[in-house]
Amino acid sequence: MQARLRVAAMLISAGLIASALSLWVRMPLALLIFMGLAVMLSGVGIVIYLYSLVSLPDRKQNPT
Amino acid sequence: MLMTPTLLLGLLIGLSVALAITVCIRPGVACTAGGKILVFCVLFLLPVLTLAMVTENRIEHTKQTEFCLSCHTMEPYGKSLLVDDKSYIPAAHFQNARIPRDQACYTCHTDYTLYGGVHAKLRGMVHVYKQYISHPSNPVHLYTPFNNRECLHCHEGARSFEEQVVHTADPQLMADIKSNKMSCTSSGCHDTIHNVTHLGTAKYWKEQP
Repeated sequence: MQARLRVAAMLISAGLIASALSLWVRMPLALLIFMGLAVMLSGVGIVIYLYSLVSLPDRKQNPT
Repeated sequence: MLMTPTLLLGLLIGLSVALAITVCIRPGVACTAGGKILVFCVLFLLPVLTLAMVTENRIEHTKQTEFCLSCHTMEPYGKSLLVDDKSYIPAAHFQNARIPRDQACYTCHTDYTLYGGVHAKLRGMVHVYKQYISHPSNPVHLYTPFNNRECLHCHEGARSFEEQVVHTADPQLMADIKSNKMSCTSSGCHDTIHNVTHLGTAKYWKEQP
């Protein structure tokens, strides 16, 4: 769980930094940076985080 | 100091990144109930909100004249807006502020239909592809003939258009214009558009500061 959270946080951070970069670039390239990098990295990070939530072991079935 | 929307967005991104890095360094924060809620906000709510706001900001940016003219191919079309000749339709509109100068290209080259904005954005993606990966045609061409609808979006109902002697001389003419049977720009009436091949000999208007 914690390893997945770490990966998700890293990807989301990288995606958000890319989206910040796209705000300062005044060219069509900014759109490619945003669509290609920012959305993709953040999107994958969010999916990993959501997956880590639903893949938690059920405590009632596996009491330890 | 002026807080522009872009600066506020930058601050929001900074906050989101700082919180995400904190979770990255200390993922153990998710062990408590409060920590779980915090992590959900940091890794889901904030990034989704931030990305939605940046998307809206980027889409607005693509409407800007400076964005369109940042492609080398479009430079002559931007130059044609400053030709000192009122027969140049785009130049006359731009210089007399009949269209917003900061959205000059978008105002006339988007389809005023239900999904016109969406189509314009999809075509914009094709333009970005051609700019960086393929190569744009020179001179550029419209995908479809210019539709009168784009002119009538502003001119329909205006006295200067509806009561213009030439437009009203023949009762059928106005009906043909409004139904796009007779084009405003290619029927010998308003057919001096960007004319980029004649820019070398043209005089130019200098915008006052």
